[in-house]
Amino acid sequence: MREHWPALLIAFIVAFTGGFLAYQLQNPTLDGADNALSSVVQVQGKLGGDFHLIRHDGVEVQASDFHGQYLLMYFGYSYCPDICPTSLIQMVRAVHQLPEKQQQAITPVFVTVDPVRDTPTEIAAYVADFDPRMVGLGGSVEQIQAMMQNYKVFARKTGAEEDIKNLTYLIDHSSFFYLIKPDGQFSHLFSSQITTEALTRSLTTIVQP
Amino acid sequence: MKRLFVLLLFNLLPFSTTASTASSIIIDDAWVRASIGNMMHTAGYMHITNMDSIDHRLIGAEIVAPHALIGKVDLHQTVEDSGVFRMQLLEEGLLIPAGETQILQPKSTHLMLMELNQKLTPGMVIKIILRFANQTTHTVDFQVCKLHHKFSCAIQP
Ligand SMILES: [Cu+2]
Repeated sequence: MREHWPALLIAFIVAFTGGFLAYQLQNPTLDGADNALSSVVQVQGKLGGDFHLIRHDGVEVQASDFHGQYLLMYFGYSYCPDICPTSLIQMVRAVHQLPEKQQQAITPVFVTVDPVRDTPTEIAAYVADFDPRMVGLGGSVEQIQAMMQNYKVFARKTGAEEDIKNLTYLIDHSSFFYLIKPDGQFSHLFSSQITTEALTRSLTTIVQP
Repeated sequence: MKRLFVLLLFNLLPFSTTASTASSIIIDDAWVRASIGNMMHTAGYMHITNMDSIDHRLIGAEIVAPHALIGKVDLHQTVEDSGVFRMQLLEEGLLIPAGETQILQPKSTHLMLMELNQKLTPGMVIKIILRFANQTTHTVDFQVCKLHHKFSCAIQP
């Protein structure tokens, strides 16, 4: 497996550069440049910040409630059957491959971009299937909109008018992993195209337990 | 090592039970991701090999067993467009060129199982009939796999 590393890394950077530059068009405040050593995206301008959301147990939370922990965050929706579970599994696996102390320093977080269908009850059942330590965050439409704006997340419902009405719509959405530092400040952005191994390797060097 | 081999063999068995009306199409490694939380949607994956000298086209799929399981199956492709991921319906179906293998896998082409009337749990086997443009059909056993098995029941990512 080791000797395949360079090929994997190159494939990742190529795939990633395309995705990110295009992503930049919709989010002009993000400026992308790949760091070949760490496979991490450099972000210019403000990303992240405080939030007011509802945790999967129904409790209102804000960013400061998570201070002291690194957050590894993914935005998606629970009705998403392919890209979201695949990315969340990857996120959990990357964390599980870290030494125990680093694992404990990171809380995996799922944030819904679908506050209408993803109620705390649904989110609770969803995150529990990935990792008992995963935190699910939802909230009102306004709360989620504010969160998405701060984290430069794109999401748009798709489907016929009927699908929107019957709540059978799908959602096109951007797919990134965000690492937030224990003081609540944004740390790193990873494409969901990153391999699990590369994500583990990056977290190994970044996270200070 | 011996035990691993036996396990692998055991795991491979369900995948080889492909009943079909034509032998030119071979389906391997067919699996469906177990339901997550309360979701009644999931995705199915497989390798489709066309051993024929002419192209074939997969145009539809339906759940046929277990009898009590009801749901809709669409052919989907996950595509990245402007940094945004979206799933699109393959309206023209999926072309399997002569002599080639199409791999349905996570973040790519998949069978989308929707509006299921029950949750799919690991260990279940779902029979899905695949319909091809030349009017042949293949009934394939899809193994329902645990969430953490990303690429198949047998192979860890
Ligand atoms: Cu789909």
